[in-house]
Amino acid sequence: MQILLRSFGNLRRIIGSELHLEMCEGSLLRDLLLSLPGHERLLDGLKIRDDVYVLVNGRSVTDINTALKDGDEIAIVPAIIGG
Amino acid sequence: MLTEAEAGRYARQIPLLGIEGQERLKGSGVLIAGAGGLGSASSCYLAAAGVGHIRIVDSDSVDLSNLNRQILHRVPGVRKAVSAEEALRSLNPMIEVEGVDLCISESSIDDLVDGIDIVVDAMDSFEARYILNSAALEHGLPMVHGAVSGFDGQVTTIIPGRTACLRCVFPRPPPRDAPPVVGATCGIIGSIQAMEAIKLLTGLGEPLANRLLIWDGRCAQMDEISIERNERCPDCGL
Repeated sequence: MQILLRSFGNLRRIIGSELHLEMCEGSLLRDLLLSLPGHERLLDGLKIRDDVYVLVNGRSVTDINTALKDGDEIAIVPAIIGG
Repeated sequence: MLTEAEAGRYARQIPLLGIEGQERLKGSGVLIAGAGGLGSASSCYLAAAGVGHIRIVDSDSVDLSNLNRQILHRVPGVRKAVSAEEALRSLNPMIEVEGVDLCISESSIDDLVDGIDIVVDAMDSFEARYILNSAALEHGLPMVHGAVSGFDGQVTTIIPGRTACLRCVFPRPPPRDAPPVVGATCGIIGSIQAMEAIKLLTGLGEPLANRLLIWDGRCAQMDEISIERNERCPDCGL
């Protein structure tokens, strides 16, 4: 199945701004995240780091066991805090 | 009703906003939550545009290290609410400006949004942003969220009942941090926040509703992500 991944801010210099990924049927979000360069910047053990947000089709997701499906669009956004 | 002096002052934007739009700005109240980098940029443009009542809230004093980006302030040690009020009054003496030296908390927020039409989120922590988010939802007020770090920034406009709220998109607070920031980043993001507020108040244009705009200043690139409400959101869930 095809997944579109976009990343932003400082993460896109590690992951790339836009990737078209071919994943096996039944893949989970964690499979995708663990396959990325610099995945230690995204994961703290088996949870998404507190300074990273992952959106699947515009919905913020915190469960790395979320099942992916063909055509999903995933955005990885670093926390931006300052005012 | 605009006075002759107001019509003259705003002559270069009235062709865009119309007399009615300008009068709407005059009759509006905006809460600027935070008089830091974002609050400096957004409040200056909203004051200059003729928003009739600006309430700007901050409970800190100016630090020397603020002055690369917090253009409301000039003198370290002065309370930010005081110098913000002075700067905005000087910028536009035709509007009402209220500097409030108060910490935004669950106990203070209801008074702070009283008489307000739009909230501009210029805070520096997500804990405080969640308080603003909840209050804006409860009072049915649009909120323009902004945040900055380094060369990067983000903006989205939250409209209660219509868009994803802050907690839908950022369901847990990131660790507290005081990131380095290029002052111009605050200028860019704060200016977009002011533009969003002006559009909402006048009914012109398309707001950043259900869209998270992300600015990458290193590449001078603007991107956006579509965002959706989470029906199980603890703040706005159905």
